[in-house]
Amino acid sequence: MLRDRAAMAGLVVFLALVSMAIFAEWVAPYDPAAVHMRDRLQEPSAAHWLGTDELGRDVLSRIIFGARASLAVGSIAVGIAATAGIMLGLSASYYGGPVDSLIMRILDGLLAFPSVILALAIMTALGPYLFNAMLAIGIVSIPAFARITRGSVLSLKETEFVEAARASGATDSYLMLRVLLPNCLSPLLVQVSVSFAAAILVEAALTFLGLGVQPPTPSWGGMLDTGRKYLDQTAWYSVSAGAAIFLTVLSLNLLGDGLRDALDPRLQGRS
Amino acid sequence: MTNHIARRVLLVVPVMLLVSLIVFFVFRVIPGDAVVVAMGEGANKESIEVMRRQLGLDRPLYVQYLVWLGNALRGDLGFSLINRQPVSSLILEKLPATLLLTGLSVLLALAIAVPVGILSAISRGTWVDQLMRALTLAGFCMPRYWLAVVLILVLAVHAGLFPAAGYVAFSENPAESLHYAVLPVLSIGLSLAAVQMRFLRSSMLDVLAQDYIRTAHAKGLKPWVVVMGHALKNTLIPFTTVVALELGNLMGGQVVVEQIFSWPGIGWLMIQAINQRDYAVVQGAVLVTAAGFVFINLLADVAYAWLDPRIRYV
Repeated sequence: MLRDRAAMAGLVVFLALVSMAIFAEWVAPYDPAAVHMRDRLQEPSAAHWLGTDELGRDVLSRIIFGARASLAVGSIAVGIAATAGIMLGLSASYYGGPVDSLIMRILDGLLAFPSVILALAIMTALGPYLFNAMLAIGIVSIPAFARITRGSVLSLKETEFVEAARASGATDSYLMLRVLLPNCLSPLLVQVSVSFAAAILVEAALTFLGLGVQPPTPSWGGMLDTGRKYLDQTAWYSVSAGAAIFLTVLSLNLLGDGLRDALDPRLQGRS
Repeated sequence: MTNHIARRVLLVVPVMLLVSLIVFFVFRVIPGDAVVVAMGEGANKESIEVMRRQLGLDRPLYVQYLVWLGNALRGDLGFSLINRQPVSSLILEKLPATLLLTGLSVLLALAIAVPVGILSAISRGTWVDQLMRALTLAGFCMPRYWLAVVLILVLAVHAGLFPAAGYVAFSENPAESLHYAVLPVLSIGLSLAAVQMRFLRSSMLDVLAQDYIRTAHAKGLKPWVVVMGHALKNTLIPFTTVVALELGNLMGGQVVVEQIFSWPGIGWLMIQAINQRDYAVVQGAVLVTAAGFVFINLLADVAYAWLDPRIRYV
């Protein structure tokens, strides 16, 4: 994958974004919460590279800090989805029979909802708090992880090395976690980047609708929404927030595509 | 084939049952009493109890679910305490707007995706293909709401060509209606086209690598005949499934676009209801949307079975 320029570009950009989020206090030129009512809604200038918002706060700084909200939600949501999804997938495929049917039917039920709508429903029920957004997006992403795990395990279940492990007295949990799971990691890794990108999009949508990150915490979705009202005065506010989302999603997708190409067994042996 | 279709239709029943269970229980988790919210905090304790009994909220949960399900099947989705209107009639009012937006967006997306996808596949490796793929990736990663904002900025605020928000019913004034629809449809349609194009291209490439295509070329058929007559049909069949699946994402993205353009569809209704804590409406809207999605997937599966001769004659 190191030779795949697009994927490497994606990786570099994503890592840069993560570093930016972690070291926001040092990277951002201004305090994102500092209000300067005299300087509100300014166009980009030498002092404020992306201009200012309706309260005179520096847009660039708010975008840098906004990365925290999006990346935090994305990583925790994916963490929840991966953990729960992998557990469900492992259980379903390992135990088979009625356990498998039950789990797959519940997943089918979840998949029957458009993801944003399901996340909306859960957020409505639980309240517009950040953790609930992470939970909602996590729940919405579970089926993908479960299905991939289940598919991989089903094809591995009857192979010889699994039989050998079972014959030497391995317990169920050992077999599931130490033998079967490590062999499913490639497609799961790809799914992590895909789900992460999707999670960021859904989080921005939820925040846009007022249900995700609450003000005054800076978040890209929130800035996109607020900036909309001031489009005739300064477009940079809204557009740059959207560009940040776009860039993050793009880098994750490039990374995911690269991982998929690199880990595809059909393509192995070529590089 | 009828067996296959019949089985597929029957599968909808357990899925819808699950959907209804999920919808019902998600909304029962809401902390706080819906009745107290509707009647106000200072309401008399006794009148709250009366209201609860009237709405059946004092009965055990599973009984409430069965009653709700029974009503839903008969088209009664409850009553909106805020709007003082049955939920079903509220939803029916907003449905035409959503259908107009969805329909036009899908048509636009197909109109772009099919020719460009084919072009991209047959000119594989050339700069045309690279450009198409780059545009598709960009379209795929671009949030619809950002595209909407950019379109508003360029075409409404700066050029003044189209209105930045608003809706006119098609039945009232088709021309005006379409004028208001341009920006929302572009927001959704363009990004949908990107997704479809990606799939169409890879699907067509798979088909073009097949032996029967090579045979067709060997038989001396002109290239465009091979593509249009043989490859296209085989590409379009799995494509219908993808289009149907994407409609699910469409419905989600549509909620935000409806909000941006103040387009009074079901998504817009859902957001209003959430802000007004009108849970009956949210519940009804979610149920209807999920049901619609399930139904569209069913149609796609049936169409797939019908179109693919290998399944048709089994």
